[in-house]
Amino acid sequence: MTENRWRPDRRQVIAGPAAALALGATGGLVPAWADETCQSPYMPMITGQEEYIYLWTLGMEGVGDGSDKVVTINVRPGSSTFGKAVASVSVGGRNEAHHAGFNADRRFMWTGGLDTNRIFIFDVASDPGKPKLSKTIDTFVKDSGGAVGPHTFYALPGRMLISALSNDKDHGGRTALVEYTDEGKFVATHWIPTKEDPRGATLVDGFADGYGYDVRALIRKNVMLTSSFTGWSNYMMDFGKMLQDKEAMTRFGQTVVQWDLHTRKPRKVFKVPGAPLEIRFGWGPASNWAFTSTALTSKLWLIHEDEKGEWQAKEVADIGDPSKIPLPVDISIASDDKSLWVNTFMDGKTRLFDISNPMKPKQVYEKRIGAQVNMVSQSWDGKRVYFTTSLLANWDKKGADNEQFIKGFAWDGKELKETFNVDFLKEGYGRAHLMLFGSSKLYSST
Amino acid sequence: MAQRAAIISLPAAFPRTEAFDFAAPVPGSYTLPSIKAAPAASLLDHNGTATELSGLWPGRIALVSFVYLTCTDENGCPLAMSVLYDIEFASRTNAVLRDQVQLVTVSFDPVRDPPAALAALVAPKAQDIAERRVLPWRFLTGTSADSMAPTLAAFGQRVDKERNSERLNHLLRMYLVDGSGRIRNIYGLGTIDPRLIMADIATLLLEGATQ
Amino acid sequence: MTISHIASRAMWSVACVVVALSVRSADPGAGAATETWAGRAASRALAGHPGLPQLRAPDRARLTPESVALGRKIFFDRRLSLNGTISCGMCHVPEQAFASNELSTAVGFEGRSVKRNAPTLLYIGHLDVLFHDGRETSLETQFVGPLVAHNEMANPSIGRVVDLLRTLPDYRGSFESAFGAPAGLDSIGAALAAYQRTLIAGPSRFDRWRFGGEGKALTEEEQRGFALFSGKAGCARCHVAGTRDAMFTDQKYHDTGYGWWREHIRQSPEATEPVEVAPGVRFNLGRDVVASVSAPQQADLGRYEVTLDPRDLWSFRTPSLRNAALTAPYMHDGGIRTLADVVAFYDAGGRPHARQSPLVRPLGLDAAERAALVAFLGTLTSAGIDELVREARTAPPDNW
Repeated sequence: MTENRWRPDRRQVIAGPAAALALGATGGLVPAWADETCQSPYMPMITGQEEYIYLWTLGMEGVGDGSDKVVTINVRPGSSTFGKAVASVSVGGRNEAHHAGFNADRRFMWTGGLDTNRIFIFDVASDPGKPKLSKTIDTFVKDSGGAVGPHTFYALPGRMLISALSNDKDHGGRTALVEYTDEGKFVATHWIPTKEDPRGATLVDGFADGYGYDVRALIRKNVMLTSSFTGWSNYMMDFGKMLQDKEAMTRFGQTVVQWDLHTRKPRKVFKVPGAPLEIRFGWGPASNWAFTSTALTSKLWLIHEDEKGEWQAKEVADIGDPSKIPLPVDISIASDDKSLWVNTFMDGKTRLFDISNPMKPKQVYEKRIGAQVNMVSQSWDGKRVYFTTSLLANWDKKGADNEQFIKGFAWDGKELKETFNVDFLKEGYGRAHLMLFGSSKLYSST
Repeated sequence: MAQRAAIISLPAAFPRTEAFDFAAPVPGSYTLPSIKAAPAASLLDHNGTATELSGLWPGRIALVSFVYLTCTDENGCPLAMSVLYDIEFASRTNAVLRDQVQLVTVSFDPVRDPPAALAALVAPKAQDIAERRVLPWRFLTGTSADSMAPTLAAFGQRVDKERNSERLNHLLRMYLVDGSGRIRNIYGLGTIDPRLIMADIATLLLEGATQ
Repeated sequence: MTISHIASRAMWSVACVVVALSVRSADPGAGAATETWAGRAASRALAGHPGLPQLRAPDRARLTPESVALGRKIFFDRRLSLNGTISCGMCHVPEQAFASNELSTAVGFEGRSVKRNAPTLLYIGHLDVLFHDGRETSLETQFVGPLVAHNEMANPSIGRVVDLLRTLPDYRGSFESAFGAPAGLDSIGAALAAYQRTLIAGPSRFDRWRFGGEGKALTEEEQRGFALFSGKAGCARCHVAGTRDAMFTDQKYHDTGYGWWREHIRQSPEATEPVEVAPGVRFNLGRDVVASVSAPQQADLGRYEVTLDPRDLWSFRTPSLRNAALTAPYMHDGGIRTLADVVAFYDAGGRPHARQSPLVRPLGLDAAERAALVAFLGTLTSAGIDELVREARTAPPDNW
């Protein structure tokens, strides 16, 4: 042991940190990391073959036990149960299951209920093929001082950053970011800036609504972004009823907020009308930008750093025909920053955009996945793409159009070819929503 | 006032790098909520003397890291140690660091890292520490192979032994502990920027958190 | 009640100052401070007020600081719905004039649709007719429906709520202290009624002008508006404004044609639906597309649903107009967003059909007259709503 051995040039080690992180932010964990490309860069990645897909699934009245559950799909090639559900754990009740995320050491998966505010923490390390409910947090609203609707679970070292969607005063859109420790202990609440209380942020367009949705960070630039959706009253409401409620339709988020990641202080509020939802940063060492799509106005927006080092928001493309309200929902960026999958819920299509020039995205492919489609996740190498159907329990299509499935596809750069399909109604699971990848190779046994 | 200025300028003791391409946060412009109490642990120092972790906290803000000395992953222990060496080096010319901060490095591999192995690391710096030319840097290890598990679990530092290998898989973590023994921040790869750590230390010093 | 207008105005302003002080000093949430606001609220409920008739309360002795404080707590307790997400206060939002400004019709348990607009609870203690269809007539029994309705708070039984209130540790002793008995249907109703009867929001400019002798409290346009309201436009025939008091409601049911029209639209909708996706960005969405994401919408037959008397088809209660400027959107289903549009609806004679009330007919108002009516309605806004909001938020909503 020499001192030299302890002293590599730090700049060399972490030059191009995004790439280094993607390949293994792991201090010596198994080298073959990967993942879908949308996870927190703080966690180990699966860059090879994912083995399992965990689906945070909404219970549906009259389907199976009616309860929210985590369903595990085996996607190990060659396995006799490839493309089949191999485990299911019900949590009890319908909580408006929505998003989920691993903690930074990827041993636990946090899943949230937008209605009941319960957070279910699953152990996915002990047996990656069979997640086990390990802890339930049922005091989110009380802990946070009134935040409602735990949505994105974004891992930070030792803690979980959660973006909420609503509040317990009026079930409207004003909301907060909430931090917990990995152990599930409340740490802090950061309210999204409003016009009345900008909390030190610059209101670029003189506007701030205090709404929340996704939270993502570019740690190399110490930049965190949040987007904005709508409050409990709208996301829980029957979709058709809402479209006809002129008052409710005015209560959608129109902002993206830039935060100081380290201090969690809001810096700038950009006006991005039409409910900007998922935020995806590029992975490349020079990719100082993130995409978001607006659900109601059907646009791609780029939130980017300009030549002066200032962050800006710019509308860069239409998604389908906005006048038909195709309702873009989940997006998934390729790990080489060259392409972006964009799902549109109403027409059930996925659309691939060439984003090699992020200022000018261009649609290059589309395919109808089903009567409705919401989430999309791709493997790190982009060769496998998975789709699920449910948007929100009361926004999903009614009757025969309420297809609920996960479908796996192989992508060869030209065509999506279906590899498996699990019908979540026939199997008695419910509404298929969020997908996260698992692998036994993430964990070496002691 | 001079002391306050010295504290606020702590992050400026380290350069802005491509990996952390942003202006350092202004100390005291934000708060660091308490995450949890730093777990208690009975450990051995480099002389083999029994040392209670909780006895280290009062008086100085501590940057606690977990390593194993045979680690070769460049994004693992060597990265952590290079940052710690940089901080130690800076403390030679920075009185705030030298007088109010300490480094605590704990091996989670007591079998291969007995006190004697730690002593080899301590020896070159012992005199500088004794004569207060640099900040104190304590090296600690466990009393047995199994003794570290509860401590690591309580901190949230995961370590797996790889099958058929000498490697200990772990996610790099550092913990900022205030003078009351409360963990105020947790760092991992991507946040181990000396300027971020300095901004946090200064923020704690400004709130008088050495006790 | 014989307090003079002047004296009672002075009482109001003193009360406001004292409450503001006590709220400030009460920040740590001391029990004594709670008693202070609740005591003041109870006194307010029992006092006389210019422009208001006598409070409807079957047993004034039960309207005490303890019962008011307890009622407030129950009102904002989200734990009292089946999955812990909805309290009375989630639809009757204090900052939104104890109504819902953000929704036409309410959204209940698991997002289930409620077919009507959540009405304001301001001055609810002065009304005999509760709900848009008058299906309840007493606050003492009104609370049961929303607690057990499958599309509101969805408790499987009212007994579950009683059990909760008997076992939740933070309620320990409170019913005993307020009513000398453990929580029960009677005392829960009494507590909720006590709190809601304190939702008296202070005099409006109209009250000062009409009952306080302040001739300059209303502008000339607003006075013209009131003249139209009482005369040519005929509004006051249902929205009664007396010489001794004015609740702006006859507490009766009428078919203006609105309910019939809305039910007609439900059954025979237009081919497209205009949807505003962002401010100023409107698209017409095909009905088939809207239908693909719509659950069947419930029919609404109005008062008929209570009486099964065909004469009551599409009749709804006359709402009070106090604080109308704060309680948008309007009508039983929140289908009209502004007071100007409400005035335009009546000016056009409502929606004529065979059963429409003869009281509603085309008014022939000009633009200035319609504007004057809207201006007048703005004078019905109470001065003390902020104080009610502060009382409502004495403590955060109870949550799990």
